[in-house]
Amino acid sequence: MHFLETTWTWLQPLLAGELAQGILRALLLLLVGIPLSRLLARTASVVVSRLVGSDRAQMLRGFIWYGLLFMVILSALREVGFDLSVLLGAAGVLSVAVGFASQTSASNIISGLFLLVERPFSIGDTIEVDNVQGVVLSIDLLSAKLRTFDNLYVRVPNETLVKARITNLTRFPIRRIDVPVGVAYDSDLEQVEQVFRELVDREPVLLQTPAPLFLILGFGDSSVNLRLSAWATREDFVAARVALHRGLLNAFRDAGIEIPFPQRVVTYLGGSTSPEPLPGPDPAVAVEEAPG
Amino acid sequence: MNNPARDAKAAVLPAPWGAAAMQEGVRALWRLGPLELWVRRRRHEWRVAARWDPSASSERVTRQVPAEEEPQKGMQVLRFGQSETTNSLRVLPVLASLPVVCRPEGPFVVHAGQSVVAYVGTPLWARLVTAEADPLHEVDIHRPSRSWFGPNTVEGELAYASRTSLHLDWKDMGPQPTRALTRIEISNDGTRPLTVSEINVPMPHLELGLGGTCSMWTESLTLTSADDGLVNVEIGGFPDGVTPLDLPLPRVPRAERRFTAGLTQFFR
Repeated sequence: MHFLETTWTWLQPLLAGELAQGILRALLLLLVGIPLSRLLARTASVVVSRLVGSDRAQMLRGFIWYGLLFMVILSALREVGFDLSVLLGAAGVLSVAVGFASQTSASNIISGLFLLVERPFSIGDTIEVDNVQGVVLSIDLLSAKLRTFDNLYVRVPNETLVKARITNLTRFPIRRIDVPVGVAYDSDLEQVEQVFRELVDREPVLLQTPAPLFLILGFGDSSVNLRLSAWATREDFVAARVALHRGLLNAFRDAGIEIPFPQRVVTYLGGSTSPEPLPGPDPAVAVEEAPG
Repeated sequence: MNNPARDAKAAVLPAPWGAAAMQEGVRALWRLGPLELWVRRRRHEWRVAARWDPSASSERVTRQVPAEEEPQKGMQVLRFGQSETTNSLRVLPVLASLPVVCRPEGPFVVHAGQSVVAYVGTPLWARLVTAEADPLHEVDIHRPSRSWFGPNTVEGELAYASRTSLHLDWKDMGPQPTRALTRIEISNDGTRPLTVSEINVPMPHLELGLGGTCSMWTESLTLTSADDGLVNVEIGGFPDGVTPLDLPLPRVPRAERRFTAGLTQFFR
């Protein structure tokens, strides 16, 4: 009891002092301000997400949270007695140094704002950027996160997203599948086209419209080069690509349409211009079998 | 054209549709056009297998209960578990879950102030329903291909592509026991000719009825186009002589039977 009385007598003048009161006020500000800032940021995010989507809301939440936190800390420092004008003065000098050091981060933040407005992709879209394909997991203050198809985590800075060419593979509901293929020069191209269209007609994963495309690209060294295109929904794209390739191979085989290997016709100068078949292997000569 | 109320006496489903009594362990086989559908009842599960024979006649509609023929080896068998299966299973005809794109043999033109009546046949699905009215499974009878219907590859909707043509005389269509017939009146109230090469029929919004010679009909449609690029759509009643079937409501019930939509949503 005597100890408590002594301790209280010793503390009283300290607590009555301005500094102690300031520290108490600052602590109160932090205790109330930090959770309140978090609550406000979360509430704003929920409201905004209903209007403009979760990815924009997520980035806005970050801005609000850090902004409010900065104000709460400044207010707490002022209560303790810090002269913020000194800080502001120092900030002027510091900002130059910090600006040089953080120009990349600042650029990423500004780029994030541009992405918010322009919206080239949303969470859940599949995009390709810098030769990386993946599903967008999140769009944050400084970067976007992707999950690749082989389950890798890729962080792409917002600055890169603004500067680079982004291909959004799932923005539109249907996609076209292109199959470049060469057929032998003696093929009946009308038959090839008919086989292709019949395949598209009977394959349920391929769409009837837009109509499939049969294009003759040109005359190659060994084959007539074609491009056969069919459409599928974005959800069925992979299955449709497999079905189209496999179906074409089987259908061509069944119809006797050749996809030729590279070929060369050799003509002897000064002699007959008709190609001569090369002699076959001499049956009298034993052929050594390859090991294994 | 009659317009029967929903609670009017419903038509009875003709065989092979409708209920089939199945004892435990029994196998049944439905042949509906190209579809061969096996169903086997076990005490705590139903087993379903399906196969499509493109060479089979589309007019084939038979049911065997019990069926001696077994599903072929390698066929995928779907299993549906239940605490206790009952001895009745219903096979109901239902309309497509997506709109169906129908195409005439060749494009035709409807001049200003004119109207035509066209008939289309769209594929049916077979829905398996237990005695407790729980839907068990749904199978497409004709395996229709899908199509994208819209003004471009960005705007539009996914639809089925009908393999039968659109006709201006329904007698040209022949018997279609595994398809639903729809009467569509196309009116051109504009000042410019309307060329019709494809029509997008909103099947999920229609109901199914039974007409003469056991043909299935949907509710009629009236599409009225004007120069403003819009179409007034009216879902009418069933044609004369067609009675509604006691089937579940349309897949996508529509509160309004008249609505306006873009021209490109229905015509191409």
